[in-house]
Amino acid sequence: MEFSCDWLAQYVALPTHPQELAKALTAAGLAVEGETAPASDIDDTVLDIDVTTNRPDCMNHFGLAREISVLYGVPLSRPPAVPAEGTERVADAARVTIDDFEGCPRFTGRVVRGVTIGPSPEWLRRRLESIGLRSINNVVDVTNFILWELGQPLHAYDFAKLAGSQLVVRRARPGEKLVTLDGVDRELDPEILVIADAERPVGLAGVMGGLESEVTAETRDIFIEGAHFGRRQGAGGRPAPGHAHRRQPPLRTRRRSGDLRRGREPGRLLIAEIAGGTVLAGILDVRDESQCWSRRGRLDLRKLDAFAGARDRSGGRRALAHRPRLRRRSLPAGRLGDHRPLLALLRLQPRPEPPHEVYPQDIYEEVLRVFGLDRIPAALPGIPGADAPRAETLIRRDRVRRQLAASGYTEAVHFAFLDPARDAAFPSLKPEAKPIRLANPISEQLSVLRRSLVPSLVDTARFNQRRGLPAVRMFEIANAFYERPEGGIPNQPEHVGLVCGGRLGNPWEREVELDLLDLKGALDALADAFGVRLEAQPAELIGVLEGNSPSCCAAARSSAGSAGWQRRRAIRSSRPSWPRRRWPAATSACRWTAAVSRLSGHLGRLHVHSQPGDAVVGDRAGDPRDRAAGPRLLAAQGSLPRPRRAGRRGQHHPLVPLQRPRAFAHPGGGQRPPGHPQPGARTPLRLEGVAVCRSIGWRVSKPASTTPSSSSARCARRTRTLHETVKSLETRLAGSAGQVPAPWEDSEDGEQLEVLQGRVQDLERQLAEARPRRRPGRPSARRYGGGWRR
Amino acid sequence: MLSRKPPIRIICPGRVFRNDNDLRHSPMFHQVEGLAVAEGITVGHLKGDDPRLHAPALLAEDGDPHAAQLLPLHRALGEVGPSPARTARARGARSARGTGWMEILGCGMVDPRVLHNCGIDPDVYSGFAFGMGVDRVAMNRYGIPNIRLLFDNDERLLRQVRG
Repeated sequence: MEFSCDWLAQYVALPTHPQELAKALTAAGLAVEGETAPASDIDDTVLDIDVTTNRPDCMNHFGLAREISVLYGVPLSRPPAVPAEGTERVADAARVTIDDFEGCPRFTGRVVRGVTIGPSPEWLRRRLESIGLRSINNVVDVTNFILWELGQPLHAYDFAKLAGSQLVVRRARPGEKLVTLDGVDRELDPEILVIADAERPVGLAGVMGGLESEVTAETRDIFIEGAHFGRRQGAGGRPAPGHAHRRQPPLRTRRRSGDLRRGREPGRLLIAEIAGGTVLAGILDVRDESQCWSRRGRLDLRKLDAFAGARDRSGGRRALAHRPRLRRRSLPAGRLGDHRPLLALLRLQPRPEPPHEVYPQDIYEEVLRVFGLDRIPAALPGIPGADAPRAETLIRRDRVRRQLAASGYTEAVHFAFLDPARDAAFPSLKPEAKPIRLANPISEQLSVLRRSLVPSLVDTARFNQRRGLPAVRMFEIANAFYERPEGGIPNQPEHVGLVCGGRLGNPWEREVELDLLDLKGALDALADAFGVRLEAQPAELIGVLEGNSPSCCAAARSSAGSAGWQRRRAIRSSRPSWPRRRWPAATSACRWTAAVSRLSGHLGRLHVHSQPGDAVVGDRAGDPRDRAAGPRLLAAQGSLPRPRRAGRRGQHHPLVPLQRPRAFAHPGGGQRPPGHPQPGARTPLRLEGVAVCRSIGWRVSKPASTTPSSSSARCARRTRTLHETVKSLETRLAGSAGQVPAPWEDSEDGEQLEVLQGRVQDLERQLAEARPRRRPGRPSARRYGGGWRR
Repeated sequence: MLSRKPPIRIICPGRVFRNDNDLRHSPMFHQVEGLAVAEGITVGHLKGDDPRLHAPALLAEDGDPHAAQLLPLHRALGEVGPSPARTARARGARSARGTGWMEILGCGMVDPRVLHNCGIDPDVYSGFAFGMGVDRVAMNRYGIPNIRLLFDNDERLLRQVRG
């Protein structure tokens, strides 16, 4: 909002330098964003001030001048208020009624007769142009000037065009129409508050006037309206027609103006001065008395001191009133309403509440703002009571975080929103729960709340791989969102997701590819830290390669987790719009696959298996054995297997987990007594892991024909062709059996058949060699199941 | 405040969402909010709890710690459920842009109406509340020009963040 310093100086003495003023205003909460010279060659400075919506009193020049006068303690000169009036009484000439007091608590008007419409005088044009307004004609300019001077919007009607010389504030009737000043023919309905004459609407209340009653060059007599429209009614309660597409109600209602009451501003009819004519005696003033209440209150300065925490150096209370700046205005601890300077200081706006609900804190706030927050000494509060312990979830989150960081994983942070297609392409821990769609998504790519952390992690892995990171190991701790069948607030369990993939190592060392086993190493170590063992079960998951079923880690009762090599297609679809030709580079450099796994919740209460051949977690919260202390669980399992050597990479956690389910470290330190519920067991923590690995081709369990690039597929295709040829030859030989004497071997076809049969056998052998040793038909648990051993 | 009796001290970090997406705004970001309600909480305590504790962390590394200042901005924080602090005054630190102020921590005394609605006597108890966008502070502290960099999850950036 722009303010002209020259204009402000009309009401209050300004500091010499505008910069100084800008600093003071900013410190008082009116942020000055810029100081510029106006376009014309006038000697002036225009301040661009960000006036927040709680300060409508400063949205005009006089209001800002009032603020400045209080800040600097200098006198304020008010604009002259009362015009010279003629002898004709306005009450005889015109009439105003309000049908809807809720929408319009107050309506005032004056009539000026015999005006001459023409250009505005120089000074008025300069004022308006300095704040970027255009001069139109003298009457319109005066209404604009008053708006920017006092903040009271005025509207001028051509009095001769008002039927019955009267104005009514009412709701529009169905079917009524109004052509507004912008030339748009608007359909009205009873929701809309209008100003009407005896016959038809002449303006939208608080929004825009009608074209018909517009002040034109021929206008002689004008009616000036200064009204106060309610916040929820009329324009504010509903966008004006034609503006309905905007996000917010486009036009502010005229604010509840204190100025109207205080200074009788509509009465200050510059128009008579500028455009000539006679102001009719008196003001038409219709109001709802029940909505006008006194703004008086009491200010107890001792309580103000206590609220502010103001103390002087000697340690005693320091009354703000003793501060020189405030004392100069000699604040009384009495009735505010009687004290004019203080009233100017205390920007007490009428609120919808009755006066007794004005709290003294509202007044303190005003005093402190002027006093300066920087002058209040800072102190630390001494609130009684012991410090609360850290929340369990935070402690657990921290442990997971540190454990995974120790395993070489980096924490990532993703948006909670996702592309629905991405969300559907990955396994969810609750496949039956639908994704939750946002009502107002930023874009389609961010339009559903994610049900799994995996898609984002896979995307991030690819993002980093494209930027040359050879090995990606990342995790995320965040909530997943599941719709509840019964509706209401969605279920939002906390998940931990992991992703790993790429090449690890130095050129002078043996490079290794991160794969599911690395993921398992991290998960094992994590589970170990929480005293949990993992247990595997086969499962079919969306986007995860079937067949080799690297196992869904499922619990005895509820699904606890999942793991699998992620299908490349699911990874590739992460950026479908990316040019396809870039793909071979990415895929040949590193063929990405991923595994998804999840650990169950209720860590710390989980049943621990140590059977070789089983991995991952069972959630046996209800198991009676669980009520016993941890060691008994193991006792039921028999002896623990001996610790095995770590995997060939050395960084794998040795398979054997714990000697016993480790008791949680109590937040306060010390061990838990046996049988006592573990902390952290109350809210389930779910883990999701994604291993992004390479060289998955041979593990694909699809028919070979779908992977034509592989050698096994080529073999299979050729074998099939040859089989067909052999078959046709056999048929031909059988058909010609009557003509050609046996044996076939003698015939040319017979020789050919023999050659071909040999070739088929040859190819079949090759095919068998080209295929992986462990074929898809076999249970892959032998490779990945069990203890997830090599 | 509805379920507990004062004294109340709450600190609440977490993810928050907003329908806004540009260089300085992200649809998801992190916020730390705090509330203290007790007998005799003053504006001085509000000041004491905030700038003294956080000023060094909030500003640019080479920044002047005195550049942070409490400004009486008074924006309504009415959206946050039952605990809006109406008389919020925001503290600004000089933004990286060099001109003006950047609002990084909104804070204020709890509106007596809020206390009243929660069944707490505003004549006896008072409180303060504050809320701060962690990402915005990080941008300011480390001179990050684009908030989206914080959500790209580029490993080279993540590696530099230590807990």
